[in-house]
Amino acid sequence: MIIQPDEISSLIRDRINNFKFDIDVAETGKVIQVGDGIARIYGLDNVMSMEMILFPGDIYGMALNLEEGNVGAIIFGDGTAIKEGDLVKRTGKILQVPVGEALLGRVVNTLGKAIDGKGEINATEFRNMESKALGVIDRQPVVEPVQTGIKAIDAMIPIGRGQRELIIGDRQTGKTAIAIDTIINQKNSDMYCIYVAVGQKQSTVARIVKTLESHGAMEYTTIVMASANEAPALQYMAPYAGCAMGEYFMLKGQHALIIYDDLSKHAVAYREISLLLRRPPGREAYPGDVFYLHSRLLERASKLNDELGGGSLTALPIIETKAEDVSAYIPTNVISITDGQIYLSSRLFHSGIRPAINAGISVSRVGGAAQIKAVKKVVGQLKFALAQYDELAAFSKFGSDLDKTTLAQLRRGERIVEILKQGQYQPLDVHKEVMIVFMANEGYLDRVPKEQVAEVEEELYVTLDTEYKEFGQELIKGDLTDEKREQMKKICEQVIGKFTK
Amino acid sequence: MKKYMIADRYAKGMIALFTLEEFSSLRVDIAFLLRDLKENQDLLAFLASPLIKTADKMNLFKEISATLHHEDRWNHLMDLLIQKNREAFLDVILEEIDRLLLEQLNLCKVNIRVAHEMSDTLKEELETKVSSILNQTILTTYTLDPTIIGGFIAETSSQIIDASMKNNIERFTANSQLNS
Repeated sequence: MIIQPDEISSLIRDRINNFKFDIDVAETGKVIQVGDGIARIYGLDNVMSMEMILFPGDIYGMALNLEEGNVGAIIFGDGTAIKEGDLVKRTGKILQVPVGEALLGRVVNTLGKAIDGKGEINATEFRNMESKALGVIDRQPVVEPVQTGIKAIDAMIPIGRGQRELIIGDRQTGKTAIAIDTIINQKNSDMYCIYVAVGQKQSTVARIVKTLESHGAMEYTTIVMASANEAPALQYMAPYAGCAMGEYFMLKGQHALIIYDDLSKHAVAYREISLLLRRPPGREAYPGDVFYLHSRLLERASKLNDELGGGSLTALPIIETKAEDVSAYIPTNVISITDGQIYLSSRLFHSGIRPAINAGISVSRVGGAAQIKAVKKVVGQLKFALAQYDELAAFSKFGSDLDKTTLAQLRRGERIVEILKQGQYQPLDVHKEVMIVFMANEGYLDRVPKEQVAEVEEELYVTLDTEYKEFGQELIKGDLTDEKREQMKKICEQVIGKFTK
Repeated sequence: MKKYMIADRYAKGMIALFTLEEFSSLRVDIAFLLRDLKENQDLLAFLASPLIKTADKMNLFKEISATLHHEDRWNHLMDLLIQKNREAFLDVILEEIDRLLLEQLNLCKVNIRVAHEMSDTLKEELETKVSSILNQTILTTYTLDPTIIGGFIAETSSQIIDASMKNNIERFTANSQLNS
């Protein structure tokens, strides 16, 4: 495209003609003290709590502590250029972030600025980072499922659209992997995803971006990053920024999934800010309002009623425990706020059971209502059988003579454990999940040795993909009729027959 | 900057001792003391020095305050400042009292920065405009600042009115970059 110099001149002339000379009126204060990402300001008598303030050099901050003689504020960015006596201006605005489709496929910082080197984001809409969660009247019960593509979760700990399901576990137990798998599994659904990385290494986030890109998942995903080297203020606000981006889709009647990875580091960032602002420390040195910090964030995830468009925002917060201690302050707080938790055990992880979900203490409080009927019927007593197996397996180590029933229960349990194993970045289609669980529950897998279960599973998927493609789609629609059940049995016999001849 | 916070407490306490009728004489006292402190830099150093006996400091101040309208109350203030080791903040406290007094009288000190010398008519027009924005009667001082290119910047202790050419050009540039 060739642009004529005349066109440029006329463009500039137009802009100059249309420019309105304005007068900026702002209330000001002066910096008394600055350091560690915190500033104390004298003046700003009418500043509001959580209001955005402007330091010299276009550095933004947020007023947090309104005290008698000064205002305590957090600085978003490099505070080294700010000096004592510098003028601070009120903006009269609450912190906002750009929202909308323009952010999909992008990696942004807490303020919504692109950090992926793909150029400016041309967002036309903005939302307040902090906003009040919707009320009871605006909501409806969680009735639609979020398919994670992970057998163990979809079968035993189902998640519904609008639910808050906590992923909790020690370091290196596969918490982020579950979140990433869930994002990847939304590829052909109507769900938008937001991944908020708080206090993580930049290399980790880069790896996640690459994984999502390679699976074509970045097209419907936005990553909000406040890495470990960024100011605690940015880490503190990152989940709220991500939430505002998700709310945009929800309020438009669409569906969004948000992952907060992780809220332990978020609480630590907030503790740092609070202590620097000289707020009184409480348990584990966290400030008194650390519960409210997470409750007001997670309460914003909801399923709207049909009058408001029926949109939803599903939240998957992640909490990292130390030495499997779920009774620490932050884990108990978040457990009590969320609608259930997926507990990952390092013992299971190291014994080769991956995802290392401990079904015994994992629970979903509302997701059951959102489960697809076929899944619900097929799953039946899976969780119970697994729990029974765990108990029997522990006892069987002591005794040698076991009765037939116990041996059968152990045999069944071993196979259930095997089928619930799943590789990373390999989310499954729902009909395949239904079929493999059906196969285990109906005892087909009892006919083959434990070591062959993986092969049977693979064969089943191949058979479904090649010979029963249409049936697969039919299976997840509506109720599980007797005809469908018969067909499922036929497929199972066909597959298992290849291994038992 | 912390001195402003300290000064604020003493200023508020001092003002509470005066009635509205006494405000004008109080302002005269403040102007006198501020001028004295400005003209005699050693005076504040003398008052703030830990090597000088408190009785000597008080005696000197009493000599100065003898000419003031509200001698007793000024002496009490100085006595308190000496007790609390806050003598060095006397000038800031005086400025703060003056600011609070003006606030109560709905008056406001404004420093207007302009790029070029202005005619009296223009100044009058400008003062009316600034006064209407602030919704207060203003007491102006002018400073020449060619860096603002044109227009003006009016600054009070708690507000800034930026109608400078520099600010508008910066805004225009930022908008153009956003739209491009």
